[in-house]
Amino acid sequence: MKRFSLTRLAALSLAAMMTVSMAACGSNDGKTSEATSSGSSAASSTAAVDQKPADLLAKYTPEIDLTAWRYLNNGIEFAPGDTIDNNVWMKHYKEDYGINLKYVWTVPEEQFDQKLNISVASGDLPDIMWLRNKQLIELAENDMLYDLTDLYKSNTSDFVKGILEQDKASFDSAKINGKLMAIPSTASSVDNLQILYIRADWLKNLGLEMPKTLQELYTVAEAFAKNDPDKNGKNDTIGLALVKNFLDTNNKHGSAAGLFAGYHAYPRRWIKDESGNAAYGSIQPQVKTALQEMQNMYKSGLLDKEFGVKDRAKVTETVSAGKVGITYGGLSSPGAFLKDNAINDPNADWQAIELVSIDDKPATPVTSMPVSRYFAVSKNCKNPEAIMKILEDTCVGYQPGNSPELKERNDKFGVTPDGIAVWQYQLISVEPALKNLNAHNNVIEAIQSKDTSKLNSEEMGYYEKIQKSQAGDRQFWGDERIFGTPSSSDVIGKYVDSNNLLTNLFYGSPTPTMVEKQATLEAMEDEVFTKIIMGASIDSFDKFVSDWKKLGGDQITKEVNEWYAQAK
Amino acid sequence: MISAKKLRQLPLHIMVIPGVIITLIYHYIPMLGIIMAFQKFVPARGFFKSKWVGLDNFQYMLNLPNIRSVIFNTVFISLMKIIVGLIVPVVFALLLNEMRRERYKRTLQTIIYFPYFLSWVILGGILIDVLSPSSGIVNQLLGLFGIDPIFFLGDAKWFPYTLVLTNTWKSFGYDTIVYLAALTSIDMALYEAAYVDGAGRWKQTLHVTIPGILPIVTLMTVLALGNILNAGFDQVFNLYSPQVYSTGDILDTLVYRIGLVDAQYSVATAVGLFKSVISFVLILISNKLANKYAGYRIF
Repeated sequence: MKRFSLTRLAALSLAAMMTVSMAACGSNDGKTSEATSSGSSAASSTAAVDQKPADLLAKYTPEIDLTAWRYLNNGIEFAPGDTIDNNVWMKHYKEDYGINLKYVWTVPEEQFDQKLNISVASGDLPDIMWLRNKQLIELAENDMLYDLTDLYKSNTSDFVKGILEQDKASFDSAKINGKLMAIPSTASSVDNLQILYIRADWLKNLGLEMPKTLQELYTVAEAFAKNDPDKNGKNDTIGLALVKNFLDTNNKHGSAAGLFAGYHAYPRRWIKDESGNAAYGSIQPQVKTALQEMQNMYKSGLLDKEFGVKDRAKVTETVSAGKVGITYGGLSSPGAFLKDNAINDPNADWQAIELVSIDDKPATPVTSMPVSRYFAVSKNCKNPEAIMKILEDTCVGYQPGNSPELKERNDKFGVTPDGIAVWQYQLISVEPALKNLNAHNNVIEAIQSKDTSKLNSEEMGYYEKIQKSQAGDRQFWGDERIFGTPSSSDVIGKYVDSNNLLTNLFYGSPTPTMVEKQATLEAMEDEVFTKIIMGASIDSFDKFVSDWKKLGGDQITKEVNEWYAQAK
Repeated sequence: MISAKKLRQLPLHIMVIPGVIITLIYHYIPMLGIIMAFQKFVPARGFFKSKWVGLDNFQYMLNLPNIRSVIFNTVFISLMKIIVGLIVPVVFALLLNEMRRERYKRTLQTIIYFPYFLSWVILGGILIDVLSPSSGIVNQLLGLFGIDPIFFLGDAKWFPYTLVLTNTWKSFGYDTIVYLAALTSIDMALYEAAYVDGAGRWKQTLHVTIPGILPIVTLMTVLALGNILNAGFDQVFNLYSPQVYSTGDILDTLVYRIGLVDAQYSVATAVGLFKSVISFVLILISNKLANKYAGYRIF
């Protein structure tokens, strides 16, 4: 997710993802935003749209002070004169809810984890905190957080509950010992499922078919690496793109997770073993088979000889330069990873397909818990219910329908007509779990029926970009291949329809032994796996398994199973 | 009564005060934090309510599976850096000093000084390209001599040497300037006397120049010895990858992963304290050595 938003397009599509949704949009945007820029009138109308008892969104009199910390999303932009401390949302909180919000600190997202660790260590907590799972547990267990269980029951509308609880596992991750200790920043989990991307124009150049099995994929990879698929007369292409952190579950683009899934192997994930217990994916025999095959690929030159030192940015350069024909990615890859190649080379035709398998059992992609941040309230906060108001408020945008009030609100608080994603300034934002897939379906329907009246403004944005892309503007190629058809959404849709997907079994906070040993164990895993691919004896895998167990892995497995027994 | 001498020095003493205060605040007060090394530190409880665990954290550190290789890597890499980082700039300073044309000398000095200003984050990206076995310019040059491509950043055998060479390349310009400055402070009369005695350029260098800069060379080395357990976090962090962990993982990268990624403050503090104690001993020893062999002492 970090790198995802590095490109402008990605930032915008991310923006759109979480943008408050409503119908209508387009050419008359400019006028309405002008008309609504007078604060409270817009807000009172949004309150009218919301069907809650008035007291949930009532204004504080006198005003209250609220402190918070947060990170600034990658790619966040400010209109001239705006800052994170002074913008439409801050004014909205103050004028419509009587909340004087003050950030004790804000940092760029990359620095967040470190800053968070240090600030939690200092023990001086603001009223509302953005937290990671780790600090959530830590603070909850030290009794530093306000228990939101009752407030959530009484001060939240069914509509908002519906959004938050669309994916139960995500929602439950904010519960500690059965108590709701934070509002989880829910997001879509299916967006992270692995997808196989292949350059169809290269297939055509070489007279090959779209592969249906892993064996066929290897044949294609070999041809891509050796038979000059780009017809430039030079032997300068590689088969499969891989990043150096190919095991990292936080990175989708250029990851090896999709390839492993072809062997029904799930490194770095927790899976259910035959006896129904939780087991660590990296130590299963299927991983050994997959590594052996990757070693063969490396040996025969299908992988970049230097993949071991190349991070996401470096591999993206290779892809953009048109040297790669096969890669694994996720929903957002056409926009975040492949787009530059498509712009540089008008012939580049990356097609998204379902994962291919080594045997007759279909390959099943895996996803982890999509919640990466939590909004928690300090125990010392004088107005813990304020967070519920803000939560209600952010969800107003998801109200169905296309009333002018909702549209006004989106122009003002979602993405402005100038294209600035002001929604990112919100203190809290949550997202329904299947939002992007639904957006894709609605857009496809609208393209077929030519009827855009049912689209909300976010979907309308995709619709327009797809129109531009189809008219030949490659800048919007990524949007078409994410939300149009054929697209990565098509593939995600197939996974969801056939229920062919796995969720990481373990979604709790790191267990005590994980906290102590995980970094060491993962470093060892990275080292051993990378070396095996680069030619070390495959037997070192067995040594890795016994080392892993000995150096804390067995203890971690025990703790995960204790957790699993409770979570089941 | 304050003597006239003391009165004269008073403004100087006053000027020192801000520096002393800042040193106290930023260097001495944080030292209290080392008590974390002896606690199972829980941030929310703070220093005073966290549980005391004695030397458990140190024991844990010494039982980390790869601690031996990490310590060895750290010492090996930084020793090499100190040695190479001493020879190259001294030789270069001597050569530059012999240059007649002031303009070339200055230009060369600026060129070699330049990489010093680039951060490792930037150099990391550049070096991956420059040192690439397939397309990097270094390996293409080696190829002209019939040498097979070397995977400098991905081959565990080569990685430590790559670190040393790139570090020297980055910083020798700076050190060269330090030595050049020392060279200019040598009394010209000594050269004249040597010349009169019939010494050529080589003898002059050997008997006037080198003894002249020896104190500063000693000083730089002694200071460097204190840093022997700092093998250069910025550099290693930006250049290493899993395949070179066996020869490239150093104490600082280990502390980073334990302390900041895994948030185990106590263990990270213990490793840091361990480093500091060793460095302190080393500084004491090297100071003694410097005093004995070069007649120069820092304290």
